Formats: sequence, structure tokens, C-alpha cells
Amino acid sequence: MGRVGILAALLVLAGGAALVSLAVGAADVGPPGVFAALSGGGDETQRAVVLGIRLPRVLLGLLAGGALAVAGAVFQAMLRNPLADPYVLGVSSGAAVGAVGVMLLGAAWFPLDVEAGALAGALLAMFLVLRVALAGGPGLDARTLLLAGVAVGAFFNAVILLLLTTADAESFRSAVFWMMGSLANAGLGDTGRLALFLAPCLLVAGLLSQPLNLLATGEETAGYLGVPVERVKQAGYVAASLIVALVVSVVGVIGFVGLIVPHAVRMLWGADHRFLLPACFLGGGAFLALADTVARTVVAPAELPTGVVTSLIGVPLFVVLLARSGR
Amino acid sequence: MSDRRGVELAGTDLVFRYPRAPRDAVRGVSERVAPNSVLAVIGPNGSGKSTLARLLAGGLVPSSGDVAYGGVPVSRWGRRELARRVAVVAQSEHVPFPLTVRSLVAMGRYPHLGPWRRERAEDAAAVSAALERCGLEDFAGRTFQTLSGGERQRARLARALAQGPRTLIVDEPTAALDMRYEMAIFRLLQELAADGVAVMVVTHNINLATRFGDRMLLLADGAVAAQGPPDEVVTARNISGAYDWPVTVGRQVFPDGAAPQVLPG
Repeated sequence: MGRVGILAALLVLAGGAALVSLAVGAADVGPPGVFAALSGGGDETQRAVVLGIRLPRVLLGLLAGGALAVAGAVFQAMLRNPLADPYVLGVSSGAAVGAVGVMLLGAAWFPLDVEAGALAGALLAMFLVLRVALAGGPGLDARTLLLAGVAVGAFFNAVILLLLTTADAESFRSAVFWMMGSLANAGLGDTGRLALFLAPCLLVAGLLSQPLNLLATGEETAGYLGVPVERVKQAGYVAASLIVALVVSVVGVIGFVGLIVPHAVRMLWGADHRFLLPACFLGGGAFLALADTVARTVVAPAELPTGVVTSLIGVPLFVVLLARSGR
Repeated sequence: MSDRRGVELAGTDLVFRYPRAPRDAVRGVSERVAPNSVLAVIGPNGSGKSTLARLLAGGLVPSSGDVAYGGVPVSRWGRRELARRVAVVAQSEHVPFPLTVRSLVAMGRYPHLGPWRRERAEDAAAVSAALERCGLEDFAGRTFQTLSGGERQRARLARALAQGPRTLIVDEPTAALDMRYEMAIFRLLQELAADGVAVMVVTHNINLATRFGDRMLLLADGAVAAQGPPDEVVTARNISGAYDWPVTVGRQVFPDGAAPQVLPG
């Protein structure tokens, strides 16, 4: 199958994941009910469930999962480190400090809602990490950046623990649940706004796909092949960090998607970023939408945190893939 | 565009010190890489050969002195503009993700691609020609990681050839190669020079350097120990002085000419 064929198949997969996700749940609608609701007909209650409750959540899952996988692929290529994930540069820890801070200390200290607090924390972490990495010398050095990210992340994690020690049981619980990530409580407006802000970042990542291919073989060689290395790195880190900041501020810290989806795509179809990035977007979206469906159905009417399910489902799948790839 | 006209890459009084290093890695070296010829750079480990190659290639900026390509300072050339003319095979590289040989070689076309980076027929033709010239036709679909050391070197050289360079800088291209491929690579460099390309090769194989080099540069402790035609550079006195080891230098007649040959004492 050619690359276009694989992308088309992944698109169908994402569509299928969305259909399943719209169809199942506390009220079992079924595919015919979904199609009826989407075309504006069918049972009124079912329509309300499908369009009002599930659709925003499914769209958010597709968007967030896809964006996280793209950010993970970009970080892995630029840091030249297969262990890199979207949270490796501490952006998620910054977001968590912002979110937990707003939850625990409330509007008296921060005149922000949780989402805005998370975004502010994420942007602060991103700024700090890039600033520290640039202070180390001319240009962004991958190792310095990784260390700066780990250091800033560790500091923010300590701040979170400090905040949690002051929390009462109720806010402790909501803070921990936020950090595990969830697609609940999202309206179409949130998803639309997220899509609007993510679009330019994803576009930048896409434009960088060929330079990223060259950068993955080493900065010196990429430079000799005509890549403006520093500009590509700055654009890449900023775009990927912004993607993570935006996603995390809306859905919390959903792990695993951004680490594993890029690896799975590489193992199956190779590491050319011109194909890898769109494939990650579609595959990551489908994966998160499905994981979220599981999260809200297995113990219905209660819900599992989506971030827990992504790991519980994803790890066994990935281990099988790893064993089969023979590398 | 004057792509086809060969121009000279010249470094003048180059000095370079790595950050926090106690001494200069390159001390006042002047050398030129001229069209239609092979410049062979030799010298002991740590004598500044690779640093000089990087300085001339624009990968490092000299602490003092200047590098000019076609009379224009390298710093004034755009990275892409330079990459269309000057190709570099660095000493080593680590490719962390699976990549086919063809994709690796196709990267050489990057500076020639348009804004949408689509590969055109001429790009595909250049890639195929480069693969063929390095004897890699049967390896195109293989993953770079599965190649032997020598095959990897040839794949990286093929990428540089796909760039269609007028100037080629190669740093120890034959370090992991057996005798046959080592000869094949030096013959290839000689052919490229005959086609008008300006070639600079850094090597530890002095005896091939004297045979295939039109001009030689012997570095010791970052400075020029000798430079000029092989017969003048490779003398027992120069070589034993630079390498701190006694040598005997003879003269061997090969089918394609005579050259000084070194035997360690």
C-alpha cells in the first residue's frame, strides 16, 4: 500500500473510531442512530446525547490525540531521542501547577479559570526552559534543552506536591483527576477554539517535516545540506511546545499517546516525517478517541481517567508491536 | 546561475579554538581547494584535520582568518546556496531512526528542491545516478541501520554526490572500508576531480593520498608542517617529524604514475 493509501486507511480508522465512540455509552445509540442524529433526524433524546454530549468529546479526542502525537514526533526528531514525549520539556508540569494552583487557591489568588491557569503555567514553563537552554551558549543544544526541561519539570512537580499538601480531600481529588487527564466537560466551543489555535502550530510542524528528516541525521550534516538549523529548531520547539500547552490546558496531562503513536507509525511505515506527521495526527486521534470511549463505558455510569486508559490499552499493544518488529 | 563553473574554496590564516580548550586546534593554516584537483590532508590524530575541514565547509566559524568561496566570504553565502555547490561528508553521524538508503541519499537533493519540497524527475535521476556511482543500486531499499560500516560510508558519499557539488569535502571516507572499496572511493574522487570538481579528502592512508592527491597538506599540532605536491610533502623528514615515528619513504611506480610511499620503521 502506498503512503496515500495508508493515510486514507488511517483516516477511515479515525472515522470508525469516531462512529464507535458516538454510538456506544450509557445510552446505546448504535450506528443507525448516530447517522440519524448527525443528519438532524431520529429520536430527540438520542440526538441530544450524540450531538450535545458525545460529539464535542469525540472531536476533542481526535484533535488532542492527533496533536499530542505530532508534538511527540517533533520532539523525538529534534532531541534525537526516542524516549522524548510531549511532556519531556516540562510544559505539562507548568500546566499542572497553573491548573492545580487555580483549583486549590481559587480565584482569590489567581483571577483565572482552570484552563487559563493551565495555559499560563504551560507557557511559563516553556519560556523558562527555552530561556535556560539559550543561556547555556549560542544556539539550542538538545542536551542542554533536555536537562533544562527535566529541571524545570522537577521544580514544578515539587510545587504541585507542595500545593497538594495544603489541599482538602475534595480539591485534592479534583486536582489529581485533572492531572490524569480527561476529555469530559468539553463543549464544542472549547474544541473549536483549540482547533483554531492548534491549526497554525500544526501547519508549522508540517512545513518542518523535510528539515526534520535531515535534522534527525545530525545537526552538522543537516547544516551542510542547506538546512537553517537554528531557525528550524527554534520554530520546531516553539510550535511543538505550544501544541502541548494548548492541549494540556484543555484536557489535562494525557500520557502515552505522544510517546507511543510516533514509534508505532515509525515501526510500521518508516521515519519520513512528511508521512510520519500526518499519520501520527490521524493515528493519535483515533487512538485517543477509542481510549476515551473505553474510559467512559467500562465502568459506566462512572468514568475512568482517560490518561489511565491510554496506558492500559496502549502498553500491551505497543509491546506486541515491539516484539514483532524484532528490533 | 554559475553552478557549473568551478570556483576555489580558500582559507586564509585560519585559527580556531574550541570553547574551553587549552590551545588552538588550528593555528594559522592557509589552504585552497581548487577545481580539477584532489587536495589530500594528512596528519596525526588530533592534528586539526577535521577542524580544518569544518572551517572550510562553514560548519565552524574561525576565531580569526577567513574562508572564501569563489572570492566571497562563506559567511555571506546562504546555507542553501552553499549546499548546492559544496557537499560535505563528515567523519561520522548517528541516524537514530530507521531510514532507507534511498531516502538518505535523496536528502542530498534538499538544497535544490522548490518551496514545496517535491522531488522532481531530475532529483530522482540524480539520486539514482549517485547510488549507481557508489555501487549501491541493490541497497536502495535497505535500512541504513542494517548496513555494514563500509556500506554506510558509501551511502553517505552517495548523498553528497546527489547534491551535485562543485566542491566536495570528505573526512576519512575510507576509515571502515576494505582495500577494494578504499581504492574504489579514491578512484571515484579522482574521476570527480577530472570532471572539474574541487575535492578535499582527509585521510590516514598516506600511501593512497600520495597516489590520488594532486596536492597535499600535512598538519601537525594544528599548524602546517608541509604543503605542496606529494613529492615535496611526503619526505622521510616531514613524515617522521609530524608523526614522531621513524619512516622510510620510497618511490613506487604504478600503472597511472609514480608516487612516494611510506613504510613505518
